Amino acid sequence: MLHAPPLRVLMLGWEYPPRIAGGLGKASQGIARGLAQAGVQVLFVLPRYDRAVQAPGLRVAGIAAWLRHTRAPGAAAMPPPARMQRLAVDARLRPYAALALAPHTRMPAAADRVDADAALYGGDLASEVQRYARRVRALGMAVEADLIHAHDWMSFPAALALAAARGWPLCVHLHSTEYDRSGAGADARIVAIEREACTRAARVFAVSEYTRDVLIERYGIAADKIEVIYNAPDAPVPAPLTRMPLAMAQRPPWVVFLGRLAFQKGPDHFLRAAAEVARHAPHARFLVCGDGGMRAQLQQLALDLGLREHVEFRGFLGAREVTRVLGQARLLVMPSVSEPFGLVALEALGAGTPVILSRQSGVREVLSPSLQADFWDHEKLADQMLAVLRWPELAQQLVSDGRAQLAGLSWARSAQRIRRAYAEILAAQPGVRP
Amino acid sequence: MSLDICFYFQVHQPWRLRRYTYKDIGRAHDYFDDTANAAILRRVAEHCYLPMNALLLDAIRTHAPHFRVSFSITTTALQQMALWAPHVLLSFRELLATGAVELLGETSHHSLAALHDADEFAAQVRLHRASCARWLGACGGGFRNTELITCNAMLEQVAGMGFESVCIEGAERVLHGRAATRAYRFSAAPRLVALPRHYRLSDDIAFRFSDRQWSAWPLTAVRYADWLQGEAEASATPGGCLGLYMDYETFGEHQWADTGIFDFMRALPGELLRRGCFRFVTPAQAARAVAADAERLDVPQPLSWADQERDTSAWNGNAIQRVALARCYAMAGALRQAPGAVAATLREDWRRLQTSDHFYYMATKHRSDGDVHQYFSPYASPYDAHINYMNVMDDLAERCGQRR
Repeated sequence: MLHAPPLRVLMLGWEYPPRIAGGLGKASQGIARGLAQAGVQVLFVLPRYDRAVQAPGLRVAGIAAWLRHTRAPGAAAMPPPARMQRLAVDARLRPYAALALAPHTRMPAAADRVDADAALYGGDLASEVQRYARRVRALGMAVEADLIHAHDWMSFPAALALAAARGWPLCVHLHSTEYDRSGAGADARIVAIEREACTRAARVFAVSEYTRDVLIERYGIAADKIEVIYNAPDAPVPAPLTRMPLAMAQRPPWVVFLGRLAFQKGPDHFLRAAAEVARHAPHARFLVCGDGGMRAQLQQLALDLGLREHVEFRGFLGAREVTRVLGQARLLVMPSVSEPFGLVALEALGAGTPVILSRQSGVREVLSPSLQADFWDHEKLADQMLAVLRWPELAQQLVSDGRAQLAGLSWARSAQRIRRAYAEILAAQPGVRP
Repeated sequence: MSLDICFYFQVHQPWRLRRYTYKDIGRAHDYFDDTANAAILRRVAEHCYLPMNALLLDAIRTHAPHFRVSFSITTTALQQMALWAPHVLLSFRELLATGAVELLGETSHHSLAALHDADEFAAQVRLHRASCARWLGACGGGFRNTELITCNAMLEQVAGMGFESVCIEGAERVLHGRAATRAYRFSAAPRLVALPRHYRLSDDIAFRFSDRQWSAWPLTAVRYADWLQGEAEASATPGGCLGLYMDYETFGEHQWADTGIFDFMRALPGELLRRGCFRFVTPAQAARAVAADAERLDVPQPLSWADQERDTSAWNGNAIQRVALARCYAMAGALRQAPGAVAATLREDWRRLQTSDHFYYMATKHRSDGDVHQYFSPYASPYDAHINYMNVMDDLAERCGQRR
């Protein structure tokens, strides 16, 4: 009996660890690795990536490096070098410019839009996206794949161009939508890109039912082509853990906000609830971790709320610092106004730290029961924060129950569902792969 | 062979708490959600108490003197009926006046006092007896503790208060292979007759009746009577007794009228009596027939009718439940003996906070039992139930002069 050749997927994305700004990169990695382990050959291409990731079935590369590789004689058939290799950098693209870079050049029509995107992805985001699309299309003519899987809108123009050029079926993966990121200030051009990609795609992956509903209701995407693929924790969490990394009683009374300082993430709601908590628990400390366009405004708000002694703005944290802060905190609060998933909640539980989730989030679908509040209900948020700070039994219960729920999530399981979707799509393509 | 059938219905409504946040502590002392409690009581009265009472009254009269049932009604339910649906009290009184209905004793506030505070347990059993006498009439010699929680430690106390029988879950853990279809005595208090609940046949009505996935759906009175007849034929000795104990809210509230539950219950007494091998009894009648040297049941670990575990984990299975219980019963010293009207108000609030439902809402079991807990809960999560409860406890402690 003949073995079917392995399925080849060309993934187009914008972030991949270690250079990441938020959940997108981690999710991209989880999915790519999960698929590779499930026997799919994954080539993950970013506009720029100054490392080379090489694992069985998985290759991650910046587009310049890929270009060089595919133009080498016999490259298409040749397995990539076995050892990790630092690849050359395309100096024109700086999507991972440090967040500290200021002032940010924003997209002209989205001046009030959250800007960590812009910060992360470099200067003129729109032209970088278009440039990436042109180069991917050009380079895509040199490789073979069975389908394209693109993560978030920045890679959609590239994916659409290549899909049109090669006739490969397209899957798009929505880790967030423009409505989540910008609310009423949504950039019409980005919305148009998202809508077109979802409409043309054979399958749309959404990170939660919450996002699926946004796609149906606000984008008018056909419900039956949208599949929910939940994110998962980085490493399988042993469930349920009775012993925690650091006992609650030994932790400083830190309450953490971790995310871009952007409207979507609700840092202002965090501060308003914190002001209530500080009145009743003067020892509590509030750590605002992350950066973004709202920073100055939030610092002023903290002063206005009388939180000068209580709040610390920690700025953007690298992966190691995130783990360290979460591992010491007593609580993570995620008061997002709109949160397609909320991977940080899984990270906090992984570090043994309880979470309060926005009811406007996707992650609450996989963490139930859990402590949840509407982002605007500052009294409820404060009530929950005070209780978790006060009662270690409650904190511990939240962690052990949350970790038990995490045990049901894995990238491998999510990747299996994606692989099944690929197979369905290809089966529906006459003559491509019988 | 013949078999005695003992129907026992539990009537209970808790005083559900309102949303009570840190802002209320020290400022507002109204803990209970009158709007929700009144609405729920009136709804249950309309869907269950009134139509089911009418159905039973009709059955008692139609089959007189052969059809009998028993009830226990918590003081917290009686209080709310008196406030918001007094005609329900009249309807229960009418049932009791037939002489075919026995009222059982229990704790006034559907509490877990039996597990935590023997003095409080005794005080609540007396209080319950008094509230029954005030609103309904005299209790008989039967006793059932909250959610059928039973353990050796409480039985001696129950016997000492003059009761003759105790309803108990017919769990394998205490029966050890013996039949659930007869009465026993307790080794911890041989004066007390143990009347086991047949949980499978009870839950066929209480839980499975409307389950369309169930192989026996739709359950008819004839089919159910066949099952009971099977039990009668299997029962080796004469004088067997089969306990069918369930929440009264099963009828019309948990199982809606459109499931056919009322038609089923209307048909069942006649269907059983027609067969000639069944007799309906109340716990008092059942206890009278039990010999002094009947076999003994030992209950070293608390037993209940709740969840798969049939233990007390529905109320004290996790850390947040245990810390809330400890907090609640730590107030006993400050409250039980204090004289005066203010103390009486505080004591009543405290007792309403002892109701097992508050702790049930805090359960974090994940399995099918978790859904049952969530069905009854007014909270978004067990953690919110805990937070609300602890806030109220903070205020109560302050009112009692305890520092937070």
